[in-house]
Amino acid sequence: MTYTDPAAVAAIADVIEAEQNYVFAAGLAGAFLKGGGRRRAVNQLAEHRAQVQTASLMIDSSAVPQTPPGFEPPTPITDAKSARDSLAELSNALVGFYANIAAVTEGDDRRWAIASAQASARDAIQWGAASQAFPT
Amino acid sequence: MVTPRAIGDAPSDVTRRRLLHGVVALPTLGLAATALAACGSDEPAPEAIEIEPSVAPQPDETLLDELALIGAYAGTIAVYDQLRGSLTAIADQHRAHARELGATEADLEAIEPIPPNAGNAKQALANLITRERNAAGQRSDAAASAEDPERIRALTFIAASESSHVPELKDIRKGVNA
Repeated sequence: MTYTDPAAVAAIADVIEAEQNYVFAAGLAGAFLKGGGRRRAVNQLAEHRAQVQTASLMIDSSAVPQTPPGFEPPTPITDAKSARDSLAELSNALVGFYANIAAVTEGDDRRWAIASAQASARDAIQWGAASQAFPT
Repeated sequence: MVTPRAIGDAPSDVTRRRLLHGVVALPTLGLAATALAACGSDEPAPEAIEIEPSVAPQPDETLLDELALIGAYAGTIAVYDQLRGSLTAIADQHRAHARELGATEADLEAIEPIPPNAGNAKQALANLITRERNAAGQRSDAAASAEDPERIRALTFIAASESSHVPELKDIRKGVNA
C-alpha cells in the first residue's frame, strides 16, 4: 500500500532515514569489531538495507529521503566497545520509529512495523544493552 | 517513554481482581436469582417484560496477562532468591507495562506470586522465557488489531520490550548452575 497521509509519510520517511543511518553506523562499527560481532554487523548491513527498501515502497518515491553522504552516531564509534554501544543505542532508537509507523499503518504494513520494532529491541540486547520497558 | 494514559475500555478494578483470582462474574446471575426467588411464591407470575441484559465489562486480556507475568516473576524470585538481582529489573518493566495498560497501584499490590513449575532455577528461567515469548506474540497481536493510534504505539513498545526479554533471560540462564 502507498501511504499519502502526511503523518504516515513522515513516520515512514523518518524510519528510512534512521535505517540509512544504521547502515552507515554498522559499516563503521564492522571495522572495529571482530569475530561474532563483526559477522553480526555485516549481516545487519543487508538486513537494514532491506528495511530501507521495504519502507521506501510504502510511500511515493518523491518522498523517500536520499541516502545521506555520512552520519555521525550519537555515541562516536572509536573502538569495539563504542561500536557495540553505538549500535545498541541506534537499535533501541529504531523501536520508537517503528512504533510510530505501526500507529499510522494497517494490516501487513503494521505487522511489519511491529515485528521490526521487536527485532530492533532484540538487536539492542545482542549488542549489550539492558532491556527497557519502553526502548528508546 | 510512552506517556501513560487511561485506557477507555479498561475493565473496572473489581472485575480485574475477580478475574485474577479466578472469579468470573456472570452477567445473567442477577436474572437467575430473580427467577428462582419467584418460584414457589403465592404471587402471580409477573408479566413478561423485556429486560436489558446487564453488560459486564470485557476483561482486558492484555492487562490480565501482564499482571500474570508479574506474578510469575514474583513467584520465581520467591523460590530462587539467587535470581532476584537479575529478574527484579525485568519485573519492574512489566509493572511499567501494566500501568501503561491501565493497572492501578491497587491492582499491582493485589498480585499474588505464581510459584514456578520447575525443579531448579534453570527450568524456572526456561518457563519465564516461554512466557515472555508468548507475551511478545500476544502484545504483537493486540497492537495489530487495536484501533486507537496511541494504544497501538504503546502496545508496539511493550511487544518490543517483551521480545527483548527473551535473549536477556537466555543470557541470565547461561550464567546459572542448575
